[in-house]
Amino acid sequence: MSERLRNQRLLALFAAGWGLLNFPLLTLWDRAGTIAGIPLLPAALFAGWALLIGVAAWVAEAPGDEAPH
Amino acid sequence: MNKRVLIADDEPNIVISLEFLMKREGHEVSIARDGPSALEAIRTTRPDLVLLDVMMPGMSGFEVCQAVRADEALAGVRILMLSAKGRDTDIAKGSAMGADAYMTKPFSTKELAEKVRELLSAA
Amino acid sequence: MLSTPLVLAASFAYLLTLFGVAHWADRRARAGRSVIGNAWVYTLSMGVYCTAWTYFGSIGRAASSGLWFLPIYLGPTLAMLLAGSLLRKMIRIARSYRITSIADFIASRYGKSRTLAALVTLIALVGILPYVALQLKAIASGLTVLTGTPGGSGPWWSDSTLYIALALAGFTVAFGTRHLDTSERHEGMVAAIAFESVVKLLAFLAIGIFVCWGLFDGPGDIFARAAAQPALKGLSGLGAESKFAGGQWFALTLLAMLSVIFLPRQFQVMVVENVDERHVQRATWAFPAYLLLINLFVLPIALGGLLHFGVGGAAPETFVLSLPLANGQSWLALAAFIGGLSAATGMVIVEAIAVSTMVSNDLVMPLVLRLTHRASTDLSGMPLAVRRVVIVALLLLGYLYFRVAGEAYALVSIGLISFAAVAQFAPALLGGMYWKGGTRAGALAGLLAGFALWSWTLLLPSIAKSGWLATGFLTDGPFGIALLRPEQLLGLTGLDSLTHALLWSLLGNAGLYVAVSLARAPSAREATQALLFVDVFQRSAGAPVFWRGRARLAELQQLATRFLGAEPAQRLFADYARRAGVTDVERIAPDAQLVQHVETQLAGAIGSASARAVMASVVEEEPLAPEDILRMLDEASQVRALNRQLESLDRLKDDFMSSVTHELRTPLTSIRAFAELMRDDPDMAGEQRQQFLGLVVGEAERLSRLVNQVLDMAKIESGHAEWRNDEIDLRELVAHAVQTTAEVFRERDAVVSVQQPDIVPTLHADRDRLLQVLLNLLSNAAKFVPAGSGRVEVRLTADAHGAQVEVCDNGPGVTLDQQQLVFEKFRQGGDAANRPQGTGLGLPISRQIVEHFGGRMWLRSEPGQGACFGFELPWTRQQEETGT
Repeated sequence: MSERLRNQRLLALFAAGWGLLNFPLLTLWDRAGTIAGIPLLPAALFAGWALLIGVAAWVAEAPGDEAPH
Repeated sequence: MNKRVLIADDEPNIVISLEFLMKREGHEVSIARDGPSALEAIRTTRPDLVLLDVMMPGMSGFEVCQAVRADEALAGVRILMLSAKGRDTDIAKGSAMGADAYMTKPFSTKELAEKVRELLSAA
Repeated sequence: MLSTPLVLAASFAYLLTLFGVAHWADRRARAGRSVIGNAWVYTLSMGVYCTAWTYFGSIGRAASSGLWFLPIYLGPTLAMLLAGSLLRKMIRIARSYRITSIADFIASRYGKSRTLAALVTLIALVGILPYVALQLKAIASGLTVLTGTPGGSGPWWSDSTLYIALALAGFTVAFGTRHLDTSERHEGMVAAIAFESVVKLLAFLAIGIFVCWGLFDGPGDIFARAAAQPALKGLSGLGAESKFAGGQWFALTLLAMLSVIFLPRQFQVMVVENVDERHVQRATWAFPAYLLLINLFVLPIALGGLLHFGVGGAAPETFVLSLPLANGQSWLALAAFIGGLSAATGMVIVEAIAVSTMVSNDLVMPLVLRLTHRASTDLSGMPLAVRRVVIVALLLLGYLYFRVAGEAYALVSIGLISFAAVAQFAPALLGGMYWKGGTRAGALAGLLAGFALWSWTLLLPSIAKSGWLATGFLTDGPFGIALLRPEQLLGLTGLDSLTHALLWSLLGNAGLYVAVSLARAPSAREATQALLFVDVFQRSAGAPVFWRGRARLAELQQLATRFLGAEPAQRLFADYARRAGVTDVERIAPDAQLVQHVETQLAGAIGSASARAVMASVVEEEPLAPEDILRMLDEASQVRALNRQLESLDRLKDDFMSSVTHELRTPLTSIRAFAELMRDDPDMAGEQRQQFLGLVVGEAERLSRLVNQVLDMAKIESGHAEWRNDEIDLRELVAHAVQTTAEVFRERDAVVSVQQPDIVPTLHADRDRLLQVLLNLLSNAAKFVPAGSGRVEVRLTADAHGAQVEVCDNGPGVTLDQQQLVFEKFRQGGDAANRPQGTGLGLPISRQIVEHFGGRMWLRSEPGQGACFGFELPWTRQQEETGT
């Protein structure tokens, strides 16, 4: 993908990350419950974090156009 | 078929050739050499067809055409525009003004004669 | 408990290993097989972000406020997503303009301002000192826990922390200041840092695994037990009671996001030490992954510790040490200590190198330069010496701070205070990279405001809370003015001190930056730099030269020797000579290009601001006016203006083309029509046929005349016409022209008279062309003269200036509005019926010919009173076109 597209996708991811990992949406997870024994909020937080990293990896590592700098 | 044809063009030699051609076809020919006299001639003689040049002094062919079409009484007059300009925009302008046909110069005498026949038979 | 000698021995052994790694990497680099040209190493080097704070502070914070340690690591994750564009741009700028520190970056952007550089350095210094102290404090605490002997107290000569600090200083000096690299790269250091990142991650994971599965039955067990205890339950949640909690979370994330870029150590490893822009791609996700891994076990360890020791049983910050120790795992505890040591030393080393570079380039060297005006003193050893002194001083000062103030205030807060200090660089730096309107005054104003607000709302309160200042001003405001209370400025309550401080400082900073920048247009220098920075990707590799002066080669060589040393200077000029294709160094042209090159190299040693000052003293620079620079650089708008011109010319050409084609088609129409008529009528009357053929021939002639004239016109206008210049006798020429046209006039019964002086000086011009003009005028007169009573007068006069010819007829004349059009192409007077055979190009061509010889042509006429066409030719032509 072109460099511009890559950067735009990362920018979108950036915005998504801010929204998901910040308060209004975060507090949704702040309730009782566990996943595999781990309370909901920490689990969701780390899972969301890992997801963000995973998508970023996918976007960042995709082969780019061999355009000369 | 004996129709009245008006030739409106300011170039003398073109007028001569057109006159010869129309007479050969058996039509009655009258001549105007500029825009205003062409319009005048159309109003007075009510030809069946006008061979109208675009580039004329006084009034351009487009203006004459527009004036004729604006006049209800002249609805039966067929107009064939002749011009050295052949761009699509000019052709479109011609039909927008109300011309029945548009031919570019230099024209083929055969094609012109055929087009004249077509226009006059439809009348 | 472990014995102190053991711990110390292990520590020093570790430091030696580090030394070894760095040494090995440096050797490999010299052999050309660099180990750090690798995206993974680059990513790991960024791990220097995690300091002893991560090891000790995070757990302490988790133990008291649950997940609130996390935003410090979420921020950098989000920041890295922008790395692709933001970081790459910074790297490109730094590489292109040889920027070696954050102070250099900011100063360079705003016109290489030394004041700005100094201010940034000062802010960095003040901000970083507590952070260094924090690392030392962490090591001290760790030592205490491991060995039972209180570190960080007692007489300073027996304080092991001091020796560790000194060892660190020595290590840093050894690997950071070996030589002066104009790119400020330190391969050995980067390799060592990457190694450290691995060590601390592994150690931390080991502790985490131990706590989760060694002390408990997995993380689920820990959380379950924690949930059972009301005191610990809330730690798994956000505990968001305060209505500003969202804002605080946001502020922390934002703060961390800014710090990961603006901390001097981060700038150093991410920008300065970067070897390949493409590595940024990997780091975009790999660094956040590192952060995630190292934080995975923070909460379990914190909860595990609280469960194990009970709340308040042991200091949470040292759980990583106390937990293994309490369970007989001494070696694991030692490993954890080494991990913590690793984290601390990484931070200290890189930070010290970065800050010492800034202090040397932007505080000390400018002072030195101002004091030693004479160009003779050899300063080549100075930059290195200054750096070494600064590194040692920094560590000693850090130790001092730790001894004096470190105990009273929690570790956590110190770190965040430092973050908030470097966050003040954000508006000036980010604004400088994306907004061409930012000016030096704006950056200065913003930085000063931000720093002032930071000091007032964060630094002073922390000093007061450590017991070094009376706390009266905290509670009542300075001089009793409640509105100015440092932690509730202007009455804003409810926020924690950090969020509060961040809000005000960034607001003031950014606000003043924008406002002051907009108050005045950027200077020439600022505008140039703005363009270079903001548009760095659109520019080619070579920065444009904006020196317009010259210098003497010897002076430049002297300068280079003075600051770089004799050998590097020699190499510099030899390389330049080779690249310029010059055989002898002495033959290098000391032009602006060389000056720029030398300045760039000097910038690597003493900073760009000082380099510029130094060069300015040597180069006789013609000051570039703002117009010059903008003209030089604003190619884009020039191109646009030219484009508009081109479009209007294009339109003119189209008009001409359509006129020409129209004119050509008209005779063609007749020719074709007559030919077809004759072809289709074999029985045409002979007479008729003759007439038609005559007309065809006539039209063909007309056509070829037209074609010739069009070509003539085109040639003259485009400057491709051939001119054969001669000495011309004008009397003879006029007579010739009249004679040639005599027949035409006779046919119309017109009379031609000629008026001319007896002697006329010879004119230097093209005879045939002038004849063409005369014939044109005469034949025009012949066309319009009334039949039978035509009179044409040809008047030739001569004066000091030149010769004038007028051809007047008694024809119908030309109306005023027609007079404008007469010289236009294809315009013909009268109407077509009476119009004699003409092309409409005669007059335009005539005028072109006359104007070619520097003269002018005119028409004088009144309707009904005939027309006079005339032209004047000067004796001396302004422009000479000779043949080709």
